[in-house]
This record gives sequence, C-alpha cells and structure tokens, in this order.
Amino acid sequence: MGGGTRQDQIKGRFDIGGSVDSYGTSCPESEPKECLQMGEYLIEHVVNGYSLIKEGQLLCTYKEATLLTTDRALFKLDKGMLLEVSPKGIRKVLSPVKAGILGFINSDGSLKCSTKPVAYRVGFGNSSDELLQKFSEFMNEVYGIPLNKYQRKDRRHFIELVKGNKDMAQDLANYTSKANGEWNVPFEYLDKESARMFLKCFMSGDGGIGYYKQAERPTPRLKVRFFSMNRKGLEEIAALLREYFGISSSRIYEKKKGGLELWIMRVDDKIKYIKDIGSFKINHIEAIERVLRRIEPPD
Amino acid sequence: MSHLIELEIWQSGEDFDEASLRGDIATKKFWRKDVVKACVELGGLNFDRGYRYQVFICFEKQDKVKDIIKKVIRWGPGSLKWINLLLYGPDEKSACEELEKVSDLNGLIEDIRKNEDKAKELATRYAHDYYKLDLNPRKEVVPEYQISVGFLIQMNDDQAIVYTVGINYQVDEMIRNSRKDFKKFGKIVGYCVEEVEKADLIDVEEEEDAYFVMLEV
Repeated sequence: MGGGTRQDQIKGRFDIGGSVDSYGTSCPESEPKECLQMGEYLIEHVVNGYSLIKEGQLLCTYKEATLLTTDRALFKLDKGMLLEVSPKGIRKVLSPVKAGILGFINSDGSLKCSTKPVAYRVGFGNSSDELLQKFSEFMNEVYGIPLNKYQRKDRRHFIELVKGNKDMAQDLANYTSKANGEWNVPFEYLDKESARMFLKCFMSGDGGIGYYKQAERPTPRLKVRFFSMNRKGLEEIAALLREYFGISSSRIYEKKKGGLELWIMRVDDKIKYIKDIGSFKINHIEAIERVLRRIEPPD
Repeated sequence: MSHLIELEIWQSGEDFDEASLRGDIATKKFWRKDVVKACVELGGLNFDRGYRYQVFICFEKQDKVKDIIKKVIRWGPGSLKWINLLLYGPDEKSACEELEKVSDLNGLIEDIRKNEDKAKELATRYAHDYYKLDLNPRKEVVPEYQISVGFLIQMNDDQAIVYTVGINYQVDEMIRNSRKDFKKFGKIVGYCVEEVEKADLIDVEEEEDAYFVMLEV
C-alpha cells in the first residue's frame, strides 16, 4: 500500500491537482445525469466538473469526463492518463493516444531512461511520413512538447523524431519495459479503446497487412501479421487480440532465418482485425480498402 | 550454423552511429588468433515489398568490420531490426560457405516449382485427412507456407548471402523486389531455396472455391 498520510495517498491515487491536457476522445453530447452511483463511488455533476465521492467523502473533482455512462466513467488526468470508475472500482487507464505512443515505441521507437550514464530520450524512426506525423501529433497531445526531427544522410527516407526529456521518458517507462530491453503490453492500464490504439500503432510500425493475388487463383488472399524478436511480447499481443477483440486464431511462426511473426490465421479473424483495429500505414490502409471493396461492394 | 562467437552489436531503436563503433570495439576485444573469418549479419523487415530478410556479409580481415557495418546501415532496405557480428574459427563454415546448392535463376525457379508440387501433394493429403468424406472434390487445395530464398552476392572482395522470407504464393514478387532492393550490395551470382521434404499441418481453412492448407515446412 502507498505511504504518507491518507490525504497524500488520495492525492496520488486520484491525481488531484494534475494539469489537464486536451486529448482525442470527446464526451457524449447528451446531458450528464446529476448523480451516478457506481459501486462504492458516487459521481456528482458540479459547476466546475465532476466530484468523485466515496462513503460521503469527496475524493477529487475532475474538470472533464471523456465518457460518462451508467456503468462506466472516464475522467481526464494529466499526461494522457484517465481515471476509470465502474461498479468494479477505480483504476488508471491509458488514453488511446498514450497507448498509441507506447505501440509506436514498442515497434519502431526507442526509449532510454537510465541514471548511469544519465540518458533520457524518446525516439521514433521510420521512413513513412504518415507514421512520423502521427507519432509527433500524439506526443504533442500528451506532453505538449514538439519533437526534434533528424534526417539521416546515410539512410534516405529515414527520419528520426527524438526528444531528450527526463519527465517524459520516466513517465513512459512506467508503462513499457522497452528501456530495459524487451517491450511488453501494458495490460493493466488498457481498456478496449486504448488496446485498439496500441495494436494499431504497433501494427503500423512492425506489422504487415497485405492483400495478395496468387498467380493462378481468382481470389486474393489477406495476410495480417506482426513481427518482433520478442516472443513474450508477441504472445501478449496475441492475448490482447483474444481478450478485447475475440481474435483467437493467431500463431507465432519462428523461421530459421531470424525473428518471429505472429500471424492471424483465419479469414473471419483477419476481417475482424482490419475492421476493428487497422493501421495508420498507407500501404496497410490501401490493402484494407481493397479487401473491404471486395467483401462489401458499394451499392 | 555453428560459429565461434555471436555478438549483438545493434538493435532497432538504438543509435545507428553506435553500431559501427560497437563493431569496432567488439572486434578488438574478441577477434583473437583462433578467429579466421567473420560475418556481419543484418536483420530487417520489408513487408511492403513482400518479405523480411537477413543479410550475412562474409569477410576475412578484421579492419573491415566498421566499414561493412556502415554499408549495411546505408544499403539495408526497409526497417532495420538488428546487427550481429559472427566470428568463426578455422574449422567452421561461414554463412556463405555453408551453402550446399547454388543455382542460377532458372534453377531457382525450377526448385521453387518442385517445392510447390511437393507442398501441394502434402496439403492435399492433409486436406483429405482433415475433411475425410466431406471434402468437396471440385474445390482446389492450395498450400500456404513461408519460403526462404537465398541470393548469393559477390561484393568487391567479399561475398554476401541474403535470405528473404515471404509467403509461397508471393515468391515471384519477393524475388523480383529483392533483386532490385539488394542491388547495391553487389552482383547476384547464385540463388538457393530450401527443399520442401515434409511439412506439419498448421490449419485448414475452407473458402468459397478452395481449401487453404497452412503448412510449416
């Protein structure tokens, strides 16, 4: 359990006083109810936002809710985090944008967070403009810091976005072990929306979506796969696909020639992936469009 | 492949500039009397061009390491994932030396066709076992497996072997693209492909007009 006074513990847990940045998801337009009881917690709509109350004690007031339904509420915290309140209790979850940053970092990104030698650095290198732009947008949205851009002379079309920033690197290191070696999926901080964005960004960096025509066959074949050197990481991706999206037919291939591929095997699961999750990479998007045109021709 | 020492030099996300420096340091430390040759290994992804790959540049002089690492960074297509340094003793075969059969392009195409025939035979057997009497004889059985094609490249004084890994039905495109993408490394002087002898069944999937039989060869 956390240390300090009860007040300190509440402050740490509910992020009282944290600055609130803007981020993607918007609150439903319908008028919020005045009061919502969720298990032990009561949410009250007050003039300056929403009060979270437990056993008659005010825990915190949040300026903004990004989701407010009868069985789940999400309140904005700082650095791209959300507080989820549901009848099961409360927990911190990654906003979709922050989960996307972690998906990018775990694929084509880098994270340095060391005290000896002192090095704090977040980076993402790619040759696809759309991915560089998306990463930059996400980082700006969560941390409000523009990234430095480096074009390498020896690798044409390859650009690195880098920022040396201790707070940012330390914050991201709370949710991925990339800085210590192999990356991981931050299960305990994900909900379905953030899981979707994590997968979408990982796929954009280290995945493949292709719709391939076989020479003698009339019907092209859809391929959806993730690549990594990290078997445990790929197993966690498979678990994420299964738990949140019901995509269960995945399999890890280890060919003699280095690296591992996680394939989604069955057609219905592949379709589910491209419809529910997708990718930001233009080549992937084009392949998805070709598949959807074929399976769902326009009227 | 057996080798004396395998040293991890660089991984995706690390600074490219550190790779050649680390290679130099590792060479000074580990290239002792019993090392007679080495390979710089590069692993990368190029799914947009239909494959992922490994390149092994084989050489005998230790003062070349730094330069070769710089070259693989400059020339490696797609997304670079790792660079290793492999050091070999006198009795060991480097990645280029251990190739058993090298063909020309026509030979490669013929070997791939034979593989495809063998894979189809195995897939058909698996499909029959899987569906038994329910198998629709009017539907085609299509094997699906990962294929690795090797390109032996003559660089100036050294040789390189590039292995690209892709899906069997994309192999023509993979070969066409690889020949272009690895042109900078040198002239392709031979090709090789692993022979399909046996395969494990991964899954069978029925579609409108065919049975797709996924194999691990």
